[in-house]
Amino acid sequence: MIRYIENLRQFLDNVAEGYRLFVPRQRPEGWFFEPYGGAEVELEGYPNTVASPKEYLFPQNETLYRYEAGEEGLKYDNETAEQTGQVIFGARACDCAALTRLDKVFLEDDKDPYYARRRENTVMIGLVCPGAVAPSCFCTEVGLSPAGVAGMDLRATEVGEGLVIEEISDRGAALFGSPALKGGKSWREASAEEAAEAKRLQEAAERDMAPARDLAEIELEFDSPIWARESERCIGCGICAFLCPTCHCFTIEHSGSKKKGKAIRTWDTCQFQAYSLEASGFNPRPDREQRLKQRLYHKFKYFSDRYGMLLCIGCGRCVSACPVNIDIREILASFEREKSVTS
Amino acid sequence: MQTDEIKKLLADKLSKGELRAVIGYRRGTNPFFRRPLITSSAEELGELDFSPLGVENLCTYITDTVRKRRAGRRDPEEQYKPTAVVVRGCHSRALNVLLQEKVIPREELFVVGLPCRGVVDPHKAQALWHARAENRDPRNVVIDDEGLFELRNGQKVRLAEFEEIADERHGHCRTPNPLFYDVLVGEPVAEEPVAAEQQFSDVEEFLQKSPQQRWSFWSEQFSRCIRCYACKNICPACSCQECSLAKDTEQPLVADAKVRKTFWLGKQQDPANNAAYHINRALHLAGRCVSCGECERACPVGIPLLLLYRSVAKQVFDNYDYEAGMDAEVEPIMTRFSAEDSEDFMEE
Repeated sequence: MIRYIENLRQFLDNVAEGYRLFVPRQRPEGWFFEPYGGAEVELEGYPNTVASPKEYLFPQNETLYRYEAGEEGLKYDNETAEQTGQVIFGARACDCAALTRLDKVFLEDDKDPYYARRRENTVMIGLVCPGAVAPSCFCTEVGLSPAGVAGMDLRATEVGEGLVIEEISDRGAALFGSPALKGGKSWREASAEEAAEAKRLQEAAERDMAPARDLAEIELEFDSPIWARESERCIGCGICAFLCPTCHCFTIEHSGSKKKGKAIRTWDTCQFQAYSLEASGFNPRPDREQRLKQRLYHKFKYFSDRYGMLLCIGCGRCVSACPVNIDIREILASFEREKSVTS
Repeated sequence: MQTDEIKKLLADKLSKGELRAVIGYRRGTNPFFRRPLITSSAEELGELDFSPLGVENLCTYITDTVRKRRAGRRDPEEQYKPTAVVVRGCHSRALNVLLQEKVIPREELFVVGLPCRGVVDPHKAQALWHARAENRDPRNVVIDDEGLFELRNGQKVRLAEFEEIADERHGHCRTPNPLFYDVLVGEPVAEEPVAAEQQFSDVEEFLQKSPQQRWSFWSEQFSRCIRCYACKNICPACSCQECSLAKDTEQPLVADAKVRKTFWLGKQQDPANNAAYHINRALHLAGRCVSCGECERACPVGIPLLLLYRSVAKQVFDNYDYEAGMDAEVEPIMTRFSAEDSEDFMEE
């Protein structure tokens, strides 16, 4: 069913009755997902959030287990992720598509129970972009769309003063079966005109972002001088990876003592020197050149070789937040140029 | 010297082998952004740009350069050749800090001073361009010390005053002109800088809050930190190879596990670890932070780090009448002992 929501606040109030709800809000420093808390959600001028919503499925810190030494040996207590459902309202198409990449990593072979439980309990209400929402957007160059449904449970399109909501997955349909939303207190069935207008806006957004190139076609070259040139100014921070909705590397820290403590999973990144440091003291990626190369190879070669999809969803966060203006679109384009020169 | 002469001078020096490399600014992703240019090719110097969009404190890269030489990772012939670096006033203070602390030797520097009337916030300029330009062709963007302009039939038409696109974080600048240089770009800035006594008005305003209010303000700010370490990595004063506060680089080899455990911070992004990271960093920057603002500019979540470090700088100024990086010849304040030092904190 295609639904129409006239009063967003009433709808979100109803959602918040049964779920932990997160919405995009503007702060002086930019837009961030925040707990709903009942206040009006203003979508006017909303581009995308500074940090991606991946932290709601793959938090920056997560306790994996606690341990305690007793008379009968070491006792383990597995932590489990929150049981109550959560709804992320207003995630952009790129960020929703990112979850399909994380699903490959965390659900396909060895299932990660922490991620799996969160994923099962999360409803993604994606919000169609009105076109490119920032100069750094390039989702169509990685084969996605500003109105795409990958990773969404429901797709919302701003039509008139309200939202047209389309069901994409069973989880999305189930949200409308929850007690607070059942029976349509805050929604009604969309008219044929409203549904048609949503479709028109979705197509217009796609047209607005006609891709200049297909980045899946680009072949990186391992020994190119481009890597040294582009990495020379890299300061080796973790902004690109930590804001990235698909970067998923982590490390496990122990806190406490030998007798009692906990194991905590935290985000890590190949951009940090210590990430690839081996116990012997040898580091196979000692310089920023190899580390920048690794990040792009993982996104545009290793991951796509294994899973048939790029690990970049074109949100442009790494481009716009890099303090020394390293622009992956430009690095990839320079390989394209290099190839056309040599062939 | 005019910019063309400077480019020629640097190109000559590179070609003659008198310089190892040049570090300056070049155009970035689009006309609103500049990025560091690090090159040893004379041809590339044509791209050197001295506009108020070049904001990075390039002294950060100097440390790396000298360190590679010390580690024997440079061609022996290139070893001691100086590196040219473009510096604004506050950046020259950062160089002074590095010279005082003997991180870099003066002989390995060729300083290209860039008088600074303030730098541009590229995001502001970009937004105003989109709001006000008639034809949004990026080739028509002109940004200089006078403001933001659009080229219409070859004529500069003003879209915004400089003040509208200026990065406000630099309103307390003490050194619009570089404190020392080998060559200077253009003419020195004539305007008087902010007086020493007035430089901390932002901190004084913040100190009007009660200690509880200040703590809750910083707790909230620190809680948003994602521990990407951009603040530390972009900071020219953060010249340690291994940081005891961050596990992003190789760690000092401390044999005693107990010492190791008490010394290191956890990698967890939680209130205790975040606060410990930021407070320790602020203290390490006492008498060393030159308020260039790179940390705050780099921070992806917008933590007002300049206010934090300037709070410490104010205490150093009030207690020791010392400002970081004003003179390469004096001993750094935190390694100097004087019987006249203030002892106000001692209780009777």
